[in-house]
Amino acid sequence: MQINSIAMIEVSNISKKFGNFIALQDVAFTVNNGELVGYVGLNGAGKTTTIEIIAGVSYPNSGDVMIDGHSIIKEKKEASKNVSWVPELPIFEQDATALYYFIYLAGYYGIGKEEAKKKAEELFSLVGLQGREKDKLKNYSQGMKKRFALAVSLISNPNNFIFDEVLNGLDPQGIMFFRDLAVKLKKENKAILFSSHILTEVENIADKVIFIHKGKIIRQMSIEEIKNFIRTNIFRVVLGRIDGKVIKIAEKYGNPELQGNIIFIENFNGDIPGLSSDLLNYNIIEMARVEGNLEEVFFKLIGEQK
Amino acid sequence: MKTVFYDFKRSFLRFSVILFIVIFAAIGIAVSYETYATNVSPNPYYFHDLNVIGVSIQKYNETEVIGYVFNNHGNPINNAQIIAGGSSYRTNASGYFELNLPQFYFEPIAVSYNNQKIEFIPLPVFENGSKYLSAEGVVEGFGYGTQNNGQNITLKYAFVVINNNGKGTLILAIDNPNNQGVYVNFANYSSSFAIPNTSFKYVGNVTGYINFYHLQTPSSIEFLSVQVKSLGPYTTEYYPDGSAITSLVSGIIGVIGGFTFIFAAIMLYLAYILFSKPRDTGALKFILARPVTRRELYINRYLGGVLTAIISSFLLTFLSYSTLSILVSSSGILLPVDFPLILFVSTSAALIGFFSLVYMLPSFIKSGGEMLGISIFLFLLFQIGPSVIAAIIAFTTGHINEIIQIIYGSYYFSPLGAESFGIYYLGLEYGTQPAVSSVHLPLVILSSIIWIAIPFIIGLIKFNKINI
Repeated sequence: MQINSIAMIEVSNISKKFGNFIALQDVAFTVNNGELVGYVGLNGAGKTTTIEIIAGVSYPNSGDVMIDGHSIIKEKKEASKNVSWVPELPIFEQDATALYYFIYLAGYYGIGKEEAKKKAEELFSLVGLQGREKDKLKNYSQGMKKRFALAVSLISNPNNFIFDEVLNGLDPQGIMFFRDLAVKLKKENKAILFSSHILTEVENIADKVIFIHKGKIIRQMSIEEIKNFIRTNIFRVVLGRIDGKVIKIAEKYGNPELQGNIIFIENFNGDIPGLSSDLLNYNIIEMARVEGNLEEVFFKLIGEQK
Repeated sequence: MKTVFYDFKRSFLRFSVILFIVIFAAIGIAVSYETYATNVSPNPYYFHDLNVIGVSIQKYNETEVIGYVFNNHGNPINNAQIIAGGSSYRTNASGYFELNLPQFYFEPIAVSYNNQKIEFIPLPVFENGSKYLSAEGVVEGFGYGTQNNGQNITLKYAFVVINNNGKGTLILAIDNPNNQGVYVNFANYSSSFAIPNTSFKYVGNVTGYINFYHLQTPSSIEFLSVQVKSLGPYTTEYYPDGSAITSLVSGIIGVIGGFTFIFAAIMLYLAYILFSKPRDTGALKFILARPVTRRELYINRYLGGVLTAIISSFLLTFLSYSTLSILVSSSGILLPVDFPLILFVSTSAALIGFFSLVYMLPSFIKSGGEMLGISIFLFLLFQIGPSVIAAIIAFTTGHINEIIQIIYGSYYFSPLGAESFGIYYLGLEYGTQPAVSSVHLPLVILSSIIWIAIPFIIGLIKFNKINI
């Protein structure tokens, strides 16, 4: 599938204050078609505030968000038709049955009762809620509520999706479902903004990661940039036998440090055959370059901010 | 389906709403029946569609009874059966009957028609009419001056007034027709009985035992004075729709009053369910992520509550009205439709006004619990407050005589005041309530509109700006 790079979600310098507290400051980024963007930050960093502004639920004090070229502030209805939001903790009016509430919400998309029923049948099945349509929403588990929110978010088959911490509180099956769905939507050339605390998941599926800290975007990196960023020059060797000479041998290849039966060699000179030959008598169990992960990147970036 | 209808369905089809509508509908029907049983059953002929008026003349060896049988619209009843002294007679096509009975015959005479029966005793003048007649009276008086033979003039007459939307008829039965002039006067209900002669209007002369005169009849309750010269005037109350309606209406007013009191609490609950609770829990956010503006969402849910108020009021008022109408249908006269209409409009206005006020609160208060607390306070304040505050003002300022005016004046400052004004206007129309100088219809309408519109607009403006 050809992927074009038109900005479908364009966040332009949004700022948001709650009283004197600055929740967001000049937040700007784009999510293009066919792009899955991770949105990463600590609790209270401003992820959900940003997402609620993009979803049209909250107003920024300044700035704007364009969804497929429509301002979420000035052209709310048109913009909202083109973006779907699955919140971390979806909250509905609990007294309604799922099907009834689905039909009610479909009404906002101009979809009539009969058509909404057909869509419900299709989407409830897609998200794994078939047979639970007539349950009251208050009887749904957290995972089911997220699936229901997803079904609602698919009503209008929008081009843009925002998943806010959707993996939180889900069982492994649920996590896999949402991860696979995000990837599937990306392949369908949709724009997806995906916030999560589970950084390994973000790392595995995202094309780009946006880091937010204390209401500010501190870095936007493509996944290649991240991989380069986390690539270290530390070599790690696990040995079956240790003696006092082993450090001396390792010093020829860099700055070694012994931790138990593992030698970490900083500033490794890259001569793996030489090192393995020299350590042959020490019964090498494992040797590899040490790799960083997104979490390390994240905390490193936060550290830089401090 | 339009979302507004869902919001309406979700507000209207709630257990609490349905329960209260069913309870009040049952009460409405029960009270209608109770009203019927209290007012109609003991005196069923009050509510018949059968009336009689006439004279009986004592002759040398017989009593001649001349009568006219008519329905509640004043139209003659043909072929009505008259039973006197074991004999049966019939009215002619013009509704008249003439009986020749033994001298000094004072036994009850029955008039029957269409399974309805009334009786009269053939006194010199007689009339027996339903309570749907606008006015009636029997006058047995002595006139001023003397006849040629030196004896005092004696004159006896009976009359009824029928109001057909302003085109009234005065039917006068007189025992001594002698070309006397007949005059009538309508006077404001609240004015004194002292009617100046100059305001009397001449309607015609007496030409026979039973006479008909056209009148312009007012549409409000007034005092009616009838004068057959040279007797003095006879004054009685004139009810445009008959006094029967008054007694029937007052029973229903009580039910509707109770309904408004309780249903205001339901409106409070609906404002909580439709707006406050979803805002507090966060459910409103999920809806706002749909293609809907805040303004539309606010209005949609507001209309859901408003429709519930309107339909509930409509069901209750018109159900009570219909029940009573069916019960008294044998009278041939429909209960005036302005009676349920005024109640419906005023009840709806009161409920919508209060709903607007409490619906505004969640725009300012996020906590559903706080909103409920303040709403309950407002409910009690506006249900009980105006009368108490007015009474305190009246006592502290020494205007105890004007307490009613002050109380009614205080209703302008309550969203529920519309209901009190509606009952006031019904009472005024049907004679259970004297006029109060502080009640002015334009102000009543204005205050109702303000109570509905202003909180709604303030709430809408605020809702457009807040962090949900």
